[in-house]
Amino acid sequence: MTISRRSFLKGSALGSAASLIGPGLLAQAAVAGVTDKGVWKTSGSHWGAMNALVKGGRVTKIEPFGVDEYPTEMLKGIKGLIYNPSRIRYPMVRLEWLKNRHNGDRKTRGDNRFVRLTWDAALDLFHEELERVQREHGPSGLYAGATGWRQTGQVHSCGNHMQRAVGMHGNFVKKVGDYSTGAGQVILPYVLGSTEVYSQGTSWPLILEHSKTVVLWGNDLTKNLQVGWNCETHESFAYLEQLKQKVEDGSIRVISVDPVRTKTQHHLGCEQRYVNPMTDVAFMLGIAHTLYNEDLYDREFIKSYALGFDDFIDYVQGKGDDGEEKTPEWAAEICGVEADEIREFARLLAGERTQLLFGWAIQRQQHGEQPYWMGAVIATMLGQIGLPGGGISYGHHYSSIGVPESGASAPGAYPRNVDAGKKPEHESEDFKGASSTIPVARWIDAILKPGETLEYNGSEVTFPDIRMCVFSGCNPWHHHQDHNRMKKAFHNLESVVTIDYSWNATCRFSDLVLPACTQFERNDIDIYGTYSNRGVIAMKKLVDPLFHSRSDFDIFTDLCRRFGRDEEYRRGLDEMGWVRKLYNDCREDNKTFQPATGGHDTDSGMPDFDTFWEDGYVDFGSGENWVRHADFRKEPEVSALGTPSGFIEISSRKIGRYDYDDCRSHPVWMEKAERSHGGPNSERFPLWLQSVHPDKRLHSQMCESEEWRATYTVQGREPLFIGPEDADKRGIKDGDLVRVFNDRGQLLAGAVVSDNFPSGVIRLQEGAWYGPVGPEIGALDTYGDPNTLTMDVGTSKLAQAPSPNTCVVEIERFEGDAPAVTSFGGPEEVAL
Amino acid sequence: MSDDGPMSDDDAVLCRWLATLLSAELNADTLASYRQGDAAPLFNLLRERGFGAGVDRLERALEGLVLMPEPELELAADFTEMFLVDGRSAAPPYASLYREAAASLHGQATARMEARLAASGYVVKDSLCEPPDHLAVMLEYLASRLEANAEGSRDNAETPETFVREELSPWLPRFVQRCEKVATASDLYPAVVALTAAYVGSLSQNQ
Repeated sequence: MTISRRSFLKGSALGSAASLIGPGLLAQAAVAGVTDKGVWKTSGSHWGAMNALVKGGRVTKIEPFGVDEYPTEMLKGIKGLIYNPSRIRYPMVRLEWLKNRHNGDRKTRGDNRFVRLTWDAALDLFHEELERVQREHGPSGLYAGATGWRQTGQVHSCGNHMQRAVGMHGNFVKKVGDYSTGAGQVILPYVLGSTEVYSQGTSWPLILEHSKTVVLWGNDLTKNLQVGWNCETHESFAYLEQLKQKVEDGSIRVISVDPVRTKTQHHLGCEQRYVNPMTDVAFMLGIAHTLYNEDLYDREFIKSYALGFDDFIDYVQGKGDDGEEKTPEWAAEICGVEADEIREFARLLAGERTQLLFGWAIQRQQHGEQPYWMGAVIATMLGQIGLPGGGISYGHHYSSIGVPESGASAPGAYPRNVDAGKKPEHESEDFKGASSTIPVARWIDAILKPGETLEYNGSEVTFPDIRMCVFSGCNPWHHHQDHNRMKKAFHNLESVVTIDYSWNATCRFSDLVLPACTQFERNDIDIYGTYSNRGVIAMKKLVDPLFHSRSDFDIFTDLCRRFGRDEEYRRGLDEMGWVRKLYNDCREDNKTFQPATGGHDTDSGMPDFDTFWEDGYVDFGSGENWVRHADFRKEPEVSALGTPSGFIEISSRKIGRYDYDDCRSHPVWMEKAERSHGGPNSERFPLWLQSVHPDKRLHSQMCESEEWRATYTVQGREPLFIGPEDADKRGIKDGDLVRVFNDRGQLLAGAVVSDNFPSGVIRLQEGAWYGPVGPEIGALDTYGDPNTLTMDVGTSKLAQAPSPNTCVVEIERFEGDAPAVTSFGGPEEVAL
Repeated sequence: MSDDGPMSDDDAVLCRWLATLLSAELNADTLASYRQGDAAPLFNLLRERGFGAGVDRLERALEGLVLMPEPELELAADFTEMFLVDGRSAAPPYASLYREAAASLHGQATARMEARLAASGYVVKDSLCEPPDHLAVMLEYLASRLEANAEGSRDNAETPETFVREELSPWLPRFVQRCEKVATASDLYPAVVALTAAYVGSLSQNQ
C-alpha cells in the first residue's frame, strides 16, 4: 500500500498550501508486523548488576543479577531513569547565547529559553567557542577538569572522553581532590602515608574473627554500600549479616558514634554513642587524655612506629599554647558526652581488639582534616594498627572495601589524555601566571576572584581567570555549596557547555546542552564487585539511544572531526572494537592469574571475548584475607609509610612549617564558624543540617526517576528528617511542608518526624535536585536541595575541601500556596 | 461530517498539515509562506467545519509576528519551550506521558502505537528519532486511516473515529492544559495546539 497525499479537491485548489505539508513522518516497514517475545540481556550499574528483559525495543523488566545476593531496591528506579521525562532529547542552546554568545545577558541563566540544534550545528558551536577561548584567553580561560560519578562502563567513561577530546584541542585548567574525601585524602598522607580513603582495608572475615569492639564513627554502611564506583554485587552485605549475628550473640560489641540513629544501627541492632554534631575532635581529645593519664595507651607501639607524640600530649595535658587541659570534663562541655562516659569509652577501646571504621561525612565540615587525624592518633595510642581486626579504616562503607580481593587485574579504561607524542591543536601552556590546577571545591572562588591567591597544602594557588566551563557527566549544581553564591559566579562565565542525559540544574544553568545517552543504550564492560575485583561483566546495550541522544564516544569523536583528528581520537576503533580491546588487554594482563575457589575453571585463563560476551561475565573467584598496615607493623623500615619520616606522624613537622592557623602541627580542637548545641550562631539558627549521602539515590543520580522518587517524597518534596521535640516546638507535624532557611538561602521540603533524630539535628539528603522559583539570588528552592543553605568555605588552608556539614538553619511550617516543584520533567503538577 | 471520499481526504490533509506543524520548527521559507497567506485553502476548509474562532486566533498570531525582530528564532524558541525541553515547564507531546500513572516516556501507549503501525506496514522514519506516540506521528497515522477509509479499504485496523476516541481524546485535554502554562513569545503554537485539540476531537464523532 502506498502512502499518498491527495489534494482535497482533485485539481490545484490546495495550491500553495501544499508546500505547508511535510514529506511525512512514516515509512514503509521492511518486514510486516513481527512479534517480539523479548530477550534477556546482562548489564551493570552503580546500583548493581542486572538482567534486563527487552521486548518490542523497550526495557520492560529489570531483575538482579544471579551473583548479587543483596541487590538494592534502587534497581526499581532504573527503568524510570531510561524513560524519564527529564531526558535531554535534543542538542539545545540558550537563545540569548545563540544570539549574542559571550556578550549576551548571563543573569537569566537558569531560567532561559532554549532552541533546538542539529548535532552538526551544536558541535560547530562547541568547537567555535573552544577556539575563541583558546585564542582570546588561552588555557587559563577554560575549566574542563571537573569530574563526577559518571555512569559505569570502562569504554564509555564520560569524563575520559570529554577530557581527551577537549585536551586534544587545547590545554585547560584541571582540579585536584574531590567532593567525597577532599579533606581526608589530603591530611592522611601526612599522618598514615597514603590517602587511605580509597585504599583496600582489612578483610571483613578477619574483623569478624578478631575484633571484640567495632566502632562505626559517623559511618552508615548499610546505607552507603548499596552503590559502588563500578558495578556493584554487594558482597559486603554478607559480612554485615555476620556482624549482625555477632552483635546478637554478644561476641562483638558494635558502637555507632553518631548523633543520629542510623540505618546501620537499626540493621545491626547495635549501640549508639551520641555526640554533639561537629564536636568529635573534642570527644576524641577527652579519650586521648584518659588513655594517657590512665596509662592505657601502647607506649611500645608509639616508640617503634610513631613520631610526634610528645608535642601532641603536651597539648592534651594543657602544656600547649592554649594552656587548656583536655580533660573529659573539658570535652564534655563541648561534645555532650558525660565525662565519666568518655572515660568508660576510652577504657573500652583499650580493653580488647578494637576496629575503628570512619565514614566520610565527618570530614566534610570545617576543619574536616582534624577528626581524621585525631582518629589516626587514637588508633596509634591503642597500638593495634596492623593487627587483624584492629587499627583504623576510612573506607569500609565504600564500594566493597574490606571484601577480600580476587587478585586479578581489572580492565583498563578509555584513554583520558592526549596520546604520547601528540600535541593539542592549541599548544599553549601559558596560564598567564595563574595555577593550571586548582583545589576542586574552590572553583567558584576562582571564578569570583580571578588573580587572587589561595594557600593550599603547603603551596600557593593563583586563581586563573576562567571564562568557559565544560561539564560531562558531572553535576556541580548538585555537589557544590551555596547555590546563591554560585548564581553570582555564573554571571561571570562567558560560556558553559554540559553533556548529560537528564535536565538537572547544571543543564539549566548552561548555554549549550548536549544529550548523552544512558549506559543502557550502549555496549561496554566493567569490573564487578568493585574493590573485590570479583569479575568482569558484559554491559549489553539494551536499547538504541533514545531520541537524538548519542554516546559520549560518538559525541566527542565528532567534536574532534571538526579539527581533523577523529581517527586519532578513537585510535581507529569503534565502540565494539574498544570493548574487545579492553577485554583482551585484561585477558593478557591476567595470563598468569589463577582464580581461587569459585572462580572460572578454565586452565587457559579468561575465556575468549566472544564466549565472555555470550556468557555475560567472568568470575575471578573470591580472594585471600588481608590486613591493612600489617607489613608496616611487621617491618616498619622495609615497608615504611609514605609520610615524610616513614612513620606514623602524630605531629607533623611539615604541616607545622606551613604555619596555618586552621591546621596546626598536630590535631587540635577548633570552634567552627557556626555550630549547633551552644556553638556560634546557634541562637539564631539552632538546628544542625546534615546533608548525608542519600538512601535511595546515588548522589543526584536517580532523583529524576519519577515512580521511584514518589516512594520517598513528602508532598512531592525531598524528605526533611526532624526529631519530635524540635517538630513539636515549631508546630510541625509529620507530612507538613516546611521552609528551611538561614542567611544563605531558603528551600521547601516535606517533614518526616522521626525519633532517630535528637534535638538540634535535622537531615536533608544530598543529591536532591535544585529547583529554584527563578534565577534571582535568594530564590526559594522548591524541591529541597541542602546545598541551597550550605557554606562555601574550604575545610582549612591545608585541604581547601568542601564543608557542607558545617551548617546551621532554622525551620518553620510553610503556610499558604506553595510553588510547584520546578526541578523535574514530569508534566503533572504536585497536588497540595 | 460524512465519510464521503473527498471529505475524508480533506481530513487526512488537515491531519498531515497539523502533524507538520507539530513535528518541527518552521523554517524561513515556510514562515514566509504562512505570512503571505498561502495557508488560506486550509484555513477556509477549517472555517467551513466550524473552527472559525480557532483559525482567527492563528491568523492573529501570524499577523502579530510583524512586531518581532527575529520571528523565526522566537518561534523556534516557542516550539522548543512548548514541546522539546523536558516536562518541567514544557508539554512534551507523547501520549505515554499523560496516560501513565507515573509520568514516563515509552509507555503502554507507545507499545500500542507500534503495534498499530506494524499492522499497517509502517514504521516511524529513522531520521525522526521519535517514539510512535508522538502526537505528530499519531496524526499521520490517523491521516493514513482516513485515507484507507476513503478508499473503502477493508483492512482490519480500526476506524479513524475509534482511534481518536481511544488513543487521542483521553490525553489531548491534559496536553492542552500543560501547553497553556508555557510562556511563549507568540500565540502561534498555543493557537495551533488549541485548534488541533478541537479539530481532532471533532473527528471522534461517528455518523
